[in-house]
Amino acid sequence: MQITLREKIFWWLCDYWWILLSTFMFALAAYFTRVYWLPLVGLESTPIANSTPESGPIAEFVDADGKYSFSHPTNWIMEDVGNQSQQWILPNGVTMSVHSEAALSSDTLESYAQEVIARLPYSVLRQSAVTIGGRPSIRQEVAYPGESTRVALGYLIIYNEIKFQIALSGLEEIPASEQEKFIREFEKAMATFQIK
Amino acid sequence: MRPRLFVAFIAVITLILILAFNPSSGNAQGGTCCDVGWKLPLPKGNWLITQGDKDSCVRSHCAPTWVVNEYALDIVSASEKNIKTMGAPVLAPADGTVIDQFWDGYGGGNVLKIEHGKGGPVTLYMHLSEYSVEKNTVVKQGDQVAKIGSSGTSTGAHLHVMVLKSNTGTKIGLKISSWDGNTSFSTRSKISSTNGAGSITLQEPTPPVSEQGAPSLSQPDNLSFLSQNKEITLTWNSSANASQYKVDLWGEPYGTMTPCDWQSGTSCRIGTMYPGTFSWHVRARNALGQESEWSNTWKFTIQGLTLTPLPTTTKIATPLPQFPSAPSLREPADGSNFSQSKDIWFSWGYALNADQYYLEYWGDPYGTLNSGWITDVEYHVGTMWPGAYFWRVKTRGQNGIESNWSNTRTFMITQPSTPAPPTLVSSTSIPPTRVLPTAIPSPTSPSQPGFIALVDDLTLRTESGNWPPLSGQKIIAHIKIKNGGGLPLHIQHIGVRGRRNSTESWDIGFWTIDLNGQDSWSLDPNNERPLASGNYAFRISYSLDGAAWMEVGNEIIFTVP
Repeated sequence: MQITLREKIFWWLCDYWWILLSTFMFALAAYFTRVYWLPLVGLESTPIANSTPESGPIAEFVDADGKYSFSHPTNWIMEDVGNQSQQWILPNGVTMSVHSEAALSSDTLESYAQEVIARLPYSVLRQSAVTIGGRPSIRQEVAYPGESTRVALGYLIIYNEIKFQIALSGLEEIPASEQEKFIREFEKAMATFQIK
Repeated sequence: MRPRLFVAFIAVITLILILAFNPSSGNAQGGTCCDVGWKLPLPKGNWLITQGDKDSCVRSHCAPTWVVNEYALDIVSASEKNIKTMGAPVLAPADGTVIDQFWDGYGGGNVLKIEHGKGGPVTLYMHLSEYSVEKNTVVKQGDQVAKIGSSGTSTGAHLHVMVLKSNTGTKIGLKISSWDGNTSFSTRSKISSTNGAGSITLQEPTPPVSEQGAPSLSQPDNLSFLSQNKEITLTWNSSANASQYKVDLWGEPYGTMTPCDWQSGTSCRIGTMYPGTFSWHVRARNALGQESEWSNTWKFTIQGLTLTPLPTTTKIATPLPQFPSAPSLREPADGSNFSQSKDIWFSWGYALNADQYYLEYWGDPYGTLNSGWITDVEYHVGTMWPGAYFWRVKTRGQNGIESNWSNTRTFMITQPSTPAPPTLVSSTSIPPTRVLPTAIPSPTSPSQPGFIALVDDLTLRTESGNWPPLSGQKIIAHIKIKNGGGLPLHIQHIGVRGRRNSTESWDIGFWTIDLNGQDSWSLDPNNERPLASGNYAFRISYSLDGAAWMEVGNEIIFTVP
């Protein structure tokens, strides 16, 4: 008796259906955990590598209490938003902010980094130890939980019993090419950031 | 159980777990809100939803998996004439406790949370201008807890409000189906609040009674014309009792800016500016925090540089070059200590107005090396031999203007117990797995790796001992080098290379030497031709078997009168 193609397929499925199910489950698990492993394999935007300076006048900002200073393009419009916070509105609605508050003796950079993302919460795409103005700092890039799109980045510093959060937010609302431009300007401003 | 049935069983269990715990996958939102006698967190009146629940919403409101904000609302006053959004009170929608108020630099600005019952639902408010109560305050329905603002990522004053199932875990957002008699929460819906009736009065922002006089302006004169290359500094006369001043400056192409924000001095340096007409004014603040009115507004005009007078028009010069600043250094940290196996990367921050960066690092046994002009803010060196090292970076901007050097940092490479220091090893004692430093110039032949190390840096003298030399004299150079590692080491050329008046080559002498078997080698070459008057700069240069010329050690600069 000759075996038809349909029978061959049916028998194959009877023997190996569990392979198909396992593959499907693996793909499903990979999809739901993508936020954790996508950055590890480099399948998302990487930090800036080359800088093309945007020319233009520069203004220096010194905080009224003399706690910090930095330089920024003059088209950043400053707003005092109270509660020891200042923010600058960049073109396209991107916002840079500097917030300071008293640190507890038990605060560490690591606990501060956890605190700022846990209250709402955000998830961290990347986190690294850097130096800002000669002070140890943690640099964070954050996303909404379960997503891999960077919505903000920031630097956290604890110095002289004061906690600083310096952030660039609103990135998710603008195209990726524009994001890089604002991040470059932000990083340049951070290069001038000094804590007194 | 057969293996494939076991695999299938595990797969089904995994699927069930994923569906149960993935918060965006269906039934995890935990219910709806807020038809439990709650009122809107806004004063009595009409309000407008500018970003609503699930339809036409912006990303931060309906990101498919961002459960926190899935059901958030943005609300503004339906009529700015009746209720001004900015500064309008935020009222407790129900009894509760203010459990948190904090700054969210990643978008929310000033944020406040009220927990309604222990472990119960939580209302969350963003972009506030100020808090009206302290953390842990127990509030009743209708009590004012904050004021609406535009802090954080916000395009204008509005209240961003949402309801969480609780303040623990993943902070699941509740869908708002009915609230204070309103049932539609889509974008552009109008809603009415009945909150605060009888207990809250609408608080239109009232300017503080000003007991602080406004300052009078001084320079630049009102309606004055200034050149584009003039450094602009705004000055004003001090005001009685004032301790701080704030300056606003506006005009195209800058928009409005606050170049000096509550500073104590009576001047504000702006620097050079693009052509245009600009307005500015100043206000004062005293020690009690009372602010004055704005001063009079003055104007000045920046004129473009006139290059060539033409009969009908003038040519505007390009904007003045900006001087680049020195970068701040990042890694390696100052005073850090690494083992010899550490892969060394230098990194620094982007600097203002800088196009290129120049890293210089020095220390035994390498002498002084550099990265050349690069556009990256990091430079890979690789493993390095034990020793103490120093490094610094300068920048170059448009038109080739260079910054000062950054501060200098130091770090140590410590030696493992084996092998021995580079100067003591023989070619046969180098372990086969040893990675040679990549900081040295690469020789053309892999069979002759190696690099030189300075024992004596370059010194110059004249035969008669006078310094600086006079015109017509010859100079004598002294250097001493040793084999820095990787024997044998053949140096095709080494000598002292110089320049007169920056352009004319003025070398002292070059030799070909072989350091194999030699611990060190001293060279005392003579300058063969008499010096002419001019500015000179000399430095040690060498080439390893045809590799690129390298410069090491300090540069000696002098002038022959």
